[in-house]
Amino acid sequence: MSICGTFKTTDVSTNDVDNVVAIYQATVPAPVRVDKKQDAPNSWTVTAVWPPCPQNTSHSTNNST
Amino acid sequence: MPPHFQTGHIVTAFLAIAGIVAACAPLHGYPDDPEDTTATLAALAPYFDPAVDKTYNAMPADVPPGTLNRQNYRDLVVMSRMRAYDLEFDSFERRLNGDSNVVALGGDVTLLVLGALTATLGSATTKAALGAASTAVAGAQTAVNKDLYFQKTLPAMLDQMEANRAKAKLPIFQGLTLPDSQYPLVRAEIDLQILKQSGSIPSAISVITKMTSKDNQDAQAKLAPLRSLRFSTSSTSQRIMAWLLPGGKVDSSNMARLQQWMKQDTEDPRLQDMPPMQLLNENEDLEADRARAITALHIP
Repeated sequence: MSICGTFKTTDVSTNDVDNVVAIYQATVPAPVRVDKKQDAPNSWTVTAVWPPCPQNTSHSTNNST
Repeated sequence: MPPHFQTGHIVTAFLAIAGIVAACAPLHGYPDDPEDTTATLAALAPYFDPAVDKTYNAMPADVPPGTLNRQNYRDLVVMSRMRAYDLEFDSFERRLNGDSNVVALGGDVTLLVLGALTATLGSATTKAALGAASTAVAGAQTAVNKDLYFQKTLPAMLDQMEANRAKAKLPIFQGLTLPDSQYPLVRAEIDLQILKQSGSIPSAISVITKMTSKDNQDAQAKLAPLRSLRFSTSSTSQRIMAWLLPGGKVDSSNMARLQQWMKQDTEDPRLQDMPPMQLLNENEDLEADRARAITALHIP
């Protein structure tokens, strides 16, 4: 199996957010996209998305399955 | 070059190829079978005749001891058919093993010899003919290489086919312990049909695919709690991050080494399917994983 689905890092400081984005982007295989979103002053969430996991497997950060 | 010399070389060349291919005769991996299976199968053929069911149905259920009754006849038919299926499966298994070996070995060597001869021998016509033969073998080899996956997975498929057949035999053997009224021939025939199909490649692939799918599901279920984590400021996280980003830019070599380690780590199999960033986040298990990574990769 390979990396699939969505991974998030929350509560990232403004100082560290670009480093977190860079590490996600440098992953092999590369993610489809990496987004950063500010939740509060000095608190960011970085979301990295890979292709969906094979059918019947979890690929959500809501980890419902 | 004199024509007779060319002809002599060509004959020698083809004899060499034939000799090498013959030397690559398949090692089947099975001892020779002393049984004449063709004759045995021919002897078992009457038990596959549709008339068997008619004979069975015409037999009385209760007959004097020592006389062939319906249950004895059922047992005979069922066991004979199982024997035939076993022989056919054995032959199928041998062919699968033998064929995949001979094509791979013979093709490789023939290609090398033909290629060498094309480069060194004869007139333009001869070279063209040998070149064409070489291309043909190369084409065959491409097809073989496409089948490499099949060849490499063959042992797993054979194992699965044998497991499927053993599983399919169980209800038959259990059924044969029952009286004819509880396990009639028509019921046994349904089980025999399952046994026949269970020795097929599609059946083996189907089971293996289901097992793989289940493994993937299990792996994903274990990974689910690690998909969204808080950023960690622990010393181990900071050390790995500094090592991955010397001077603020990702060191691709260190990144590759870390990912390689994650893929090979046997203590926490979840690491194989997660991006390295997740390893740097807050989680008790990951803290232990980071400590191992620092030691293994000599991270300062």
